[in-house]
Amino acid sequence: MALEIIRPFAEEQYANEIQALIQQDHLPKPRNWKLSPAAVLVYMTGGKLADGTVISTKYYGSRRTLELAIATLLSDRALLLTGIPGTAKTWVAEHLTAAVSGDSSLLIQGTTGISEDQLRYGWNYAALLAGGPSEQALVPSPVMRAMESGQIVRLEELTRIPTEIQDALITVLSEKTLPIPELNRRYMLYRVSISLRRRMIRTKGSMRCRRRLKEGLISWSCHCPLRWKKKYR
Amino acid sequence: MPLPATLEEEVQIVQNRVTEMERMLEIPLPEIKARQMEQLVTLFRELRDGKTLDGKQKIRSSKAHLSPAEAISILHHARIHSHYFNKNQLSADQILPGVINALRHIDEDEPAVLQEYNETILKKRSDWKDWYQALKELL
Repeated sequence: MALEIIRPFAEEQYANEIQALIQQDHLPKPRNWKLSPAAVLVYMTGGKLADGTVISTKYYGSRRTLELAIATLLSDRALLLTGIPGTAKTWVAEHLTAAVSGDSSLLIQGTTGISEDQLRYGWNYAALLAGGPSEQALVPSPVMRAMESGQIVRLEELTRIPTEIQDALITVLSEKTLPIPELNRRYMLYRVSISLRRRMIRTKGSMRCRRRLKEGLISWSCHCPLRWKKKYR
Repeated sequence: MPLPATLEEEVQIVQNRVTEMERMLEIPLPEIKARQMEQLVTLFRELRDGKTLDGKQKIRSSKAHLSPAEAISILHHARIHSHYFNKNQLSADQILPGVINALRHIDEDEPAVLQEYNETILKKRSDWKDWYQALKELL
């Protein structure tokens, strides 16, 4: 019996849609983008292409929110999606990443037990002990990999990460660089976008998001009915 | 360090940086009209100072960081948005979501300050009609 993957990545599940969009997208693409921003929007909102390919609707909420989010991915700041649980923040982040980068595998799950290494870089201790700090001994985080390849990295549940650990992202977001003092080199962020999501309501045990970090972010709220918003305010 | 002393100085700073950022992006972004730039900086200064530029009317000031850096980022984002999704036309509709966002960053209820400002100040300014309307719809 053939084994089946329970949940394939968005770019695998919707590979035919992305492929059709790539083929029929003649608009200029920003550097490192697989699709033009207009085509990314079509991928999200759904529609029918010239050759008859049907693009399914990924997001039923406000089109404007999507436009603002896509524009944010091209801006100097990172995208922060906010909203109460269940408003499709993760879903939107995953599909935007799949459409823009064609690869949504760079993902960090924010937890209260996360360490700075997982946001910046760590070391392969065997190699570190044997040869000292070197490129080979370095274990890059998804953030660093995204910076190297110009892809989008997703960070889930930003506000579950302790504030002190969140601070590791400040240099990346404000200076667009990830210094590695041990190697006397740094990675430059070139128009790479980080899309993060956080819960809007602070539940017991959740962390604050520092103002300093917020300065590196542009946040858009995922659509939810107005009465919910009021209730949770 | 102090914030820019005059409106002209602040406009100049924002103008220079926004132009620089466009060069880095290598995408031809829509022009920002001098008037739009002045309007955004005016709004920032008035909300920061808690009074109108001429000093005649008091308003509720905002605790948000309405700095030149914020204005630069808002305009840059607004231009990208207009380029791709508004036929390269920059209007108040693209600029104002960023302003609301900046206020929301410090407190979910902070945009109420902007709403009050819109109804008491901008409504009376005949040359700010588009900003008044756009804000009214967005808030």
